[in-house]
Amino acid sequence: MRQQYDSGFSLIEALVSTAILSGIVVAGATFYSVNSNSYARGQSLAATRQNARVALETMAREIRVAGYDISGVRGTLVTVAAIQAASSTSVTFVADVNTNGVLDLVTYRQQGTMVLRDLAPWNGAAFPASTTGEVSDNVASLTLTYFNKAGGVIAAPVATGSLQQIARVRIAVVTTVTTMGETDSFPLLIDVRIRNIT
Amino acid sequence: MTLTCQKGSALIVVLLLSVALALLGGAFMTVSFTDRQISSNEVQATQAFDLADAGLDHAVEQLKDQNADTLLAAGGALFTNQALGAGTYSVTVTNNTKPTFPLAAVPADAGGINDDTDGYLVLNSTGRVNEAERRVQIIVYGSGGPTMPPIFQWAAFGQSSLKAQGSGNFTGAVGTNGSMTFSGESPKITGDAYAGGTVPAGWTTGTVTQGAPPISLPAEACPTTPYGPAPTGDGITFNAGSGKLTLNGTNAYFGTGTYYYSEISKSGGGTIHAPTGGAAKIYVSSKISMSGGGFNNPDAKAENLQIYGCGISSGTFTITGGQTSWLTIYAPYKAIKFTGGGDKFGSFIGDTFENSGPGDAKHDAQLLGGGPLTFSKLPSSWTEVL
Repeated sequence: MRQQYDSGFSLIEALVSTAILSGIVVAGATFYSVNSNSYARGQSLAATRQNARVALETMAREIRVAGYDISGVRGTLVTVAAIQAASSTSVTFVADVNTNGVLDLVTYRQQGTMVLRDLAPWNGAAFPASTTGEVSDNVASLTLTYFNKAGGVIAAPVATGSLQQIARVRIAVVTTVTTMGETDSFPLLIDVRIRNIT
Repeated sequence: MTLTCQKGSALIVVLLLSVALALLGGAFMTVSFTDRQISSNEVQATQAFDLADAGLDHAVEQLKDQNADTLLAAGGALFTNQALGAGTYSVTVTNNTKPTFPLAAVPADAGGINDDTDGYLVLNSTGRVNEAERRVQIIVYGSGGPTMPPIFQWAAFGQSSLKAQGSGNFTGAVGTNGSMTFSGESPKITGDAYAGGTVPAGWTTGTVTQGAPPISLPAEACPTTPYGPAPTGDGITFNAGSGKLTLNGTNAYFGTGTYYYSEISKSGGGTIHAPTGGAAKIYVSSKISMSGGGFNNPDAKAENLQIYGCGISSGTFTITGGQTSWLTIYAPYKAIKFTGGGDKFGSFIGDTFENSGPGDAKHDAQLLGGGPLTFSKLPSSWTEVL
């Protein structure tokens, strides 16, 4: 009897074992593929989130110092307010953002899926044409909300006469990323109290 | 044997699957752990920033009625690792000196790193939460302080002349209704020079004004009370009849109040102590001769030790000081001579003023103002230091 078992598999046995094995392999491959997709999504989302966080933090830091000017130029501007123009999708302010003693005119705005930053350092007489850099990609929306000292919302776009009242800016950025046909969106929000308002 | 072999292939398949699952699980965990770490870092960075900002506010409050010069001389640490919430903050105060200053909004302080002569100070605050660290900076401006007459805006003023030699220099505005004479170390004046006569060229860092209209220095009247009282301490002789005070001991303590003598003679290396939390006003009608020793002013406030040369008779005030001293002298009819080491902070007004050094005569900015000394944030000067 032992000799018979040892002599080989029957056809049935071979078929059954192959079927079981292929079942396992297919299940395993599917499992792996789903998981690897999911991993790729996770990684891509993490990268996007990180990108959005950095962008938001950069914006927040610079808007927070809006009005910072130890060069004394701000007092000579037509609009003395720290924030020079404010709409719900863009903000323009003056601040020596790189602390080099020269006042800069900075604009943050959304263009397509990007948030852009325009920078123009004071040249002694005016703000020259600005240079533009990309702050963040994959941006679905950039929404800016402005508040006065009492916490009331100032309607955007803010009228020139009301720019001086802006004491706090809420920046909301929604980034989206599509991986393997799945779209994830990631909303971020930060409140910035401007320190250099007078 | 065959049975065992079959069992083995199942084991291998299961093992392979387990390894694959474990790898996937590990990868997932790495992603979510990284995400969690990022969030945690962000929370800590925000906390550190808020701590740094809180540190600034605390510092502005803490600076009230403090002697900025003492703080600066001690390194400027206002708070060191002050605990609050999840972390700590440290705040240091520095003077507005070159090369960062002058800025259009804030001039450079002529007093250098350890002497606030213009009221501007720079506060740097660092917030820390574990590894996270954020730094913010603001410029503050002091106003108020002890009420002293405007004449004490001068580091030194000589009614007839002003002279400095050797390494006896000035910090702050220096003036005379006559002319100035300088020799030795240069620059002699770190600050502005104002003279009714002439100022030698090349000794002054600030603005020089010559041929200026005279500044009136009215005589200080002597007290109508008898001479005295004597200070406490050792080796003190006081002659109530002649009004002569002789200090030969190691310590002479003046309390808050008014003192009146005809003459103070001091020999030996003893110390004249100013009161704390108040002012000793010492009126001397003819002469001060110090041949050693110096002053100890624990509050480091010049207004705590005020020496007046009263009446209109001439005389000589010879002042030595082995250590950093804070005092004011107003004696428009007396010749004032500074000798000895140790810088003297305050304001020194005489008929003639002569500084032979090596100690400098420096203006104490906190002499001016009135009311409590408070610091306010200079608008448009808040920034985060990256």
